[in-house]
Amino acid sequence: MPRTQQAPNGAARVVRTQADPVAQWLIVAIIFLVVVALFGVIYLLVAGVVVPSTPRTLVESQLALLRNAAATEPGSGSARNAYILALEASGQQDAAMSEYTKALKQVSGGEQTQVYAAGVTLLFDQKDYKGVIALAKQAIGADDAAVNAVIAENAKKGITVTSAQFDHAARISILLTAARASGATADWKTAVQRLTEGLSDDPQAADLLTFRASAYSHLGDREKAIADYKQALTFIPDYAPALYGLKQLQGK
Amino acid sequence: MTGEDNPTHHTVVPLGDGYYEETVVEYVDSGRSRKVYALILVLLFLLLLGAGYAVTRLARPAGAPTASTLPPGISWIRSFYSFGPTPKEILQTPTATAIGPDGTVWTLANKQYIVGFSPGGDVRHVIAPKLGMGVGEVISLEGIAIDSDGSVYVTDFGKNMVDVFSPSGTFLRSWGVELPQVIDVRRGIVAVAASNGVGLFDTGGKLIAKWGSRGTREDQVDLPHGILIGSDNTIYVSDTQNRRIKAYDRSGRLLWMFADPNRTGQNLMSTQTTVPVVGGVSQSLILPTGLTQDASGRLIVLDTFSFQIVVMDPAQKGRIVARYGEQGVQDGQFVYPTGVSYDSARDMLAIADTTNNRVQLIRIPGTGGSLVRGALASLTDTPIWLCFAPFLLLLGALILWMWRRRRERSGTTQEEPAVH
Repeated sequence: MPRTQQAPNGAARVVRTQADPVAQWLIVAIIFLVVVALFGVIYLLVAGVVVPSTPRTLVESQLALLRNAAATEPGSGSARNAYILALEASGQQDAAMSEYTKALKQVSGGEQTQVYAAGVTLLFDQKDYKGVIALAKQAIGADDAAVNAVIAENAKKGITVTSAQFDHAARISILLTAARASGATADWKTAVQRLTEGLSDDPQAADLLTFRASAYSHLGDREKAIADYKQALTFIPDYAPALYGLKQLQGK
Repeated sequence: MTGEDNPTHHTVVPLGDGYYEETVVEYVDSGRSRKVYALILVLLFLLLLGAGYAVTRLARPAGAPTASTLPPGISWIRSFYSFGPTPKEILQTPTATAIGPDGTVWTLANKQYIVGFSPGGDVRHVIAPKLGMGVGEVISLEGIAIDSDGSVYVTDFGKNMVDVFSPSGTFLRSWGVELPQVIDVRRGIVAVAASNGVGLFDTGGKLIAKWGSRGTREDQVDLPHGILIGSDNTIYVSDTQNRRIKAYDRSGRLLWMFADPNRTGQNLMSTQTTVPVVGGVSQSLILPTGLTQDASGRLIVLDTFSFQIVVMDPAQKGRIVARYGEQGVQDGQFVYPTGVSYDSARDMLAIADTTNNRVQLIRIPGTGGSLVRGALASLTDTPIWLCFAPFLLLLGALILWMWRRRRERSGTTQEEPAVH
């Protein structure tokens, strides 16, 4: 609304007030961008672009199956392990870590070892070798406690159960990953310890024997290395890593 | 507020006799406001760019094949693996596909379920007839076709019937056909390829024509796994075990036949030794199954045992003009594909990748589809019109603002005092 002022010389002076056109255009541009953003948000919601209603790829399909299995059996360590590792394999590291943290709280007893095994793998793949070693120690302790608890519980009922009767696959996987982490930090002595521990649970594990042979080789113990390679080949005669390692050593 | 921060217009118009009109226009918004608005604009723009990048990454399906990993000529759109979260809802051995007039991609799962997906992957329909010999029950579904009114036609090999359902799953009617394999419906004609011949019916099941018997002679068929009513009413049949593609008129007269040059009629797995190559393309046809027609009028045939899509030119009696695809479990590859249909509106093929337990939507070159038409058709696949609501709101606000401004100006003109 214009207002009239009296100029010093007595003439009329009209003063109009209006918005700054540049500022107005800036506001219009801001509103336009907000509208575009709203358009995008609504599109994403209605079109299911980010969260598809059905799996679109083989990876998504497998993830959906594993997610469903983990949801159906939340206390199953193997189901949780498979889902965590599938998430990681599909490139969703953050989701895998989040699922691991959640699973660790929801899974108990011996089943938890499977979850730890997944966690150890995640940390190893992130090259957090110190984290792997610390988590492996915690996992083996928890596994020992769970195994002992089951043995004690059965003993109360007069049933004799030994450690050898348990499935140690997850435990061995943890020990192997811990040994690899030790190897990655050039701590070959600790690596040998972890692998020997694992071999006490499964003396026929060719992968443990082969990696221990490699560790011995790094420590300069050629004879023990060759013995382990040969031992691994007695269980799997065409095990390529053992064949290669043995060939390398014997060629020296 | 300094003069620099507060840009103004200042005009002086001499009126003579020492009088003049001096007009000063003061801006309500200062120069500082301009800076603030500009900053907000830039931040918002950067935020949108970042969000767009993040969404692009999120929207890319995990494990989606890239152009470099796909077989030459194949453009992968998406795959369908399941119609629900439970293991029971996984697509098991889908043998056929059909595309409805609204773009719904139909397929058969576990030989029992009839499932319709939107091209975007939403489950639109699940028809789950009971297993059994009763009315509306099914034993072993093999083929599927969709009529222009959306009716779903399926062949039940185990029950020797053609069943018709509404898209919502209501059983409508059925009629008997011995050993029916695959089916097509177009322009009021239902074509059924059975293990031992071909039959044409009206949509009520009344027999119009019937020809052929099971065998290896030219007038016979052996376990045909593909049938199509062409755009010119030619009936194309994939004579699977005989490794032939045949074109008939509606009375059953053979118009032309393409046969694999090395067909033995006995050993389907036989290794091809002297396959002729015409125009750089192998003319081999090891196990032709599903077939459809693209917008260019070419025949698209699945050669199941070569894991390929074979493109044939009906004008040249079925000469194979192109082949696409390779064996593999990754998206964009096939393992024993058996069913195919083409959506000209979206220019895409829906392939029942049977042994991989999925349906794949893909594109191949030369189909004659229009990307513009496809983009327009995709608007109807999702309620995308909802997305335009903010624009409509903006338009409404703009109209209101202009109306108010106009009113204010007219008021100003009336109230402006006289200048001396």
